[in-house]
Amino acid sequence: MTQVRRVDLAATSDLEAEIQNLCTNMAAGGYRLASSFVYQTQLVLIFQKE
Amino acid sequence: MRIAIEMRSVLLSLGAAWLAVMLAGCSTQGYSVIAATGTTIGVGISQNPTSGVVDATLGYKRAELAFVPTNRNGGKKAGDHFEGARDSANVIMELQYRGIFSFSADSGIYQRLAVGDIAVAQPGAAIIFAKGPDGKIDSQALKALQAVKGISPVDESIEKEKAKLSKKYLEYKQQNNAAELQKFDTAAKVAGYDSFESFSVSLTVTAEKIKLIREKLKEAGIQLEN
Repeated sequence: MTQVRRVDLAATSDLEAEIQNLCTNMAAGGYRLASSFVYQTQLVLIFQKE
Repeated sequence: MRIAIEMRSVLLSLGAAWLAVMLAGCSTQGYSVIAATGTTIGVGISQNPTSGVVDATLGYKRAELAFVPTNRNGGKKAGDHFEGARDSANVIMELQYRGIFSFSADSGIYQRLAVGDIAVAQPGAAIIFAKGPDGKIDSQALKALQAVKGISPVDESIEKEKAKLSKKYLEYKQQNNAAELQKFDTAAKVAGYDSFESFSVSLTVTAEKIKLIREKLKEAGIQLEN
């Protein structure tokens, strides 16, 4: 099971907090961060079911 | 020849006037973000005086400069608007060079620079940066661009509020506290989710649903951070 999320780097006010919150929510759902990359102005985060 | 010299003088005068106007404008406007790029690529081969081998030199040099105004005061009250720098410009920059020793069609150097919140956030900027050195968009790059744009963006405020619930949920999960975890599932079901886990990873969460789940958890005796 894989979930993909996109963070708009140009729109976020606190990137560190946003990533932490996102990872906390995904962890509550049983997902851990497996990979991430930046494409243009978008941070793409790939989560996989633990 | 005289005309050329006069023209040069005129151009120099105009250039000096423009520079003076620009600097004067900056001094009254306040702080600016200065985005500068400098690129120098050079190769030099020294000549051997005894053998007479000819020197070969390849050089490339360029510079770009952009002044981007911010709302931060640069005058006597500098610092009054201490958060003004948050509104300063975002910058995306890309430099590529390849095949600089060849004369093939794909050889060369190119640079892209986008400055400013609007510039970096616009879909147009993404398309410009997706272009190859030849100015064309590769079909695979276009597919990747469309695929990434198709992913729903994370809502910062929703994730922040959801995380307050998720932190508590994870605490109980680490404690293997099944009774408290059951309360989270019950509250999530009231809001229309199969479980709290499905709520925590859902992309369709609204502020109203978070509020409803918070109220149900509070009724069940769960203490949450505000």
